[in-house]
Amino acid sequence: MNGRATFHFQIPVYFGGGAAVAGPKEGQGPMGPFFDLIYDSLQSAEDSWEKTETAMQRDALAKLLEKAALTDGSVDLLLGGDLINQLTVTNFAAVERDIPFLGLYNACATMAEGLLLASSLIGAGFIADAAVVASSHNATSERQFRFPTELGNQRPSWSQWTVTAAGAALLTNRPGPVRLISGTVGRVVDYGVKDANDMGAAMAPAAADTILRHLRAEKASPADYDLILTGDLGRRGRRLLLALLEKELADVDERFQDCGVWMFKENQDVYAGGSGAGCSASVWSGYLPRAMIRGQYRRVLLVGTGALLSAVSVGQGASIPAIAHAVELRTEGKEAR
Amino acid sequence: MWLDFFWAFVIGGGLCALAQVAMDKTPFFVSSAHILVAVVLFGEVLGFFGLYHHLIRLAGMGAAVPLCGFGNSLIEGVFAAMGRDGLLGVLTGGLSAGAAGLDAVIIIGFFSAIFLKPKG
Amino acid sequence: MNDPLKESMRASLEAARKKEYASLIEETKEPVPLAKNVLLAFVVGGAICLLGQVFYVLLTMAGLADKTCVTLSLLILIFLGSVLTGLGYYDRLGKIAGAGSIVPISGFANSVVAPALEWRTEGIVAGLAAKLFTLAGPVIVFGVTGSALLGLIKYIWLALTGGAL
Repeated sequence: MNGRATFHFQIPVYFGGGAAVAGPKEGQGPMGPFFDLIYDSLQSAEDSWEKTETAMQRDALAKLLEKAALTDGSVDLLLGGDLINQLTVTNFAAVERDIPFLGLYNACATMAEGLLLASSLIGAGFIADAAVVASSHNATSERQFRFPTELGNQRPSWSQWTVTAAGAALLTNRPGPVRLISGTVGRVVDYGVKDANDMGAAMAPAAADTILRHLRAEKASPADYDLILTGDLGRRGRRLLLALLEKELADVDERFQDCGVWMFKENQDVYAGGSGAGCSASVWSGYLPRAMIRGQYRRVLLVGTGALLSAVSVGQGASIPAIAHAVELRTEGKEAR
Repeated sequence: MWLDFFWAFVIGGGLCALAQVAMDKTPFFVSSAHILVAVVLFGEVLGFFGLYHHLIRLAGMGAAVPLCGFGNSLIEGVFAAMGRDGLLGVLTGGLSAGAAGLDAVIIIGFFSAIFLKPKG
Repeated sequence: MNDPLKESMRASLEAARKKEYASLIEETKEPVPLAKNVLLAFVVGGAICLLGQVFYVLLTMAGLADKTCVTLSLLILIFLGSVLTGLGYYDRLGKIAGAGSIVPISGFANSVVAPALEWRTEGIVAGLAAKLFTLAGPVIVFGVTGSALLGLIKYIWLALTGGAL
């Protein structure tokens, strides 16, 4: 049963470019230099936070196409999503593009889901080029999932800070330096975590499950990878993931990293780190491909993690199911193995 | 007068500290709405036994500013109205006693939200 | 896969793993800094009450009746809480002070203004006004219901013991 739902893309799929747009706090973090555009406020010229998030997606897509020198007509498919009810943020960004669109929701694993689906469709020969986009916005998420932003309440140290960012990536069958090799579709995993502030703990078992399944299908161990990069587990979720994996694997070490930890500096007051669909989307589109092209990492496993909760499910005291999808990337040329 | 300031600080701060202990010692996450509800009910129970006005006599605003003071004024209002109107006072006393604060919160809150914007 | 014995073994293994994880997440949770939180709540809460007392004393000096001074001082704190919320400072205070800025009446004003500001974009009637009491509503519901119930208890008690209202 472990080999199920690990896809090897038959027709080679390549990373054709990426663009990332981020909010002011994210712009001041370590990832700042890798963002194409940094908004100077949570609310841009738009008159609501939701419209600002849409603007971020719109800008990320425009930058992506501009950098790849493509027009709408030359992209076969747009896949994307966000965290806001009925994907309105993404829908309003997609309406401005003349590209057939698939809306996706897997909470913060949406970017991974999009990369996996786009690669599968290209790898199977249905399409040649696809753009994948995902975003989150601190204020739109806070008010939908938690409390009004101006409420003077206290949050525990293990809660996470929703990242304000959008990331867009282009996948193509035209050869380039970074190739997407395979991907594993995650299972919904529920270990009974009920604390909506403890998202890292809710998502870590899903990440562990998907990583183990992917490694088994690839007959690989963590030592074969230069980087295993989870989406938004944060410091706490990353520690729990390592604790879970140590029981099953050797070489569980610093090669396991997390975009939520990378997004902010220690002194940026973000509790256990960043979270949100835009967290992995912006790091994977903005920073990671450049680092791979530079030769810093050659074989990388991306693991998008999503906590599948809503304000209603939390209100009704339900536990928080989670999902993780994995996509494996390699730089072309020298095979890692 | 200086002693009044001292007691206002100590009793007011003490009530807040007590609420903080309740907040941090509850095994699950408690929102500010939960805490405010608990504090108001706490004030009502103390008021019911006639204890809260001792606190007000000692601490002045130190007992009136925390929201248990609001709970106390609701219950004192009910009792006073019962003295006048009998059983009907149960319904008429509470909100009339808390009316000034409540109306102010609604009106000031309304205009603040009209003229100001959330900063995120 | 469909072997019932294997299935039940898998289920019990799964349950054991979940139990183990539940204790792992409890063990690895950073403890809440209780002493620091309580101290900050005490100092900030005390300071807000002290401010109220200062307003009260100033108003009595103006020769107003005692009860009016209490009410007016509370109104000033409500006003300050609302405006600081709208200017984006009260949430930062609340992060540090916790109950110290939630429990005073300015915190009640904060819990009214915060959702009202947030839902202003959905219109003045259906957004701002409708959401105004999302957090403060429960306080009024429990306050009114509680006071009525306690009043009723007193009424019945007095009726049974023959006391006067």
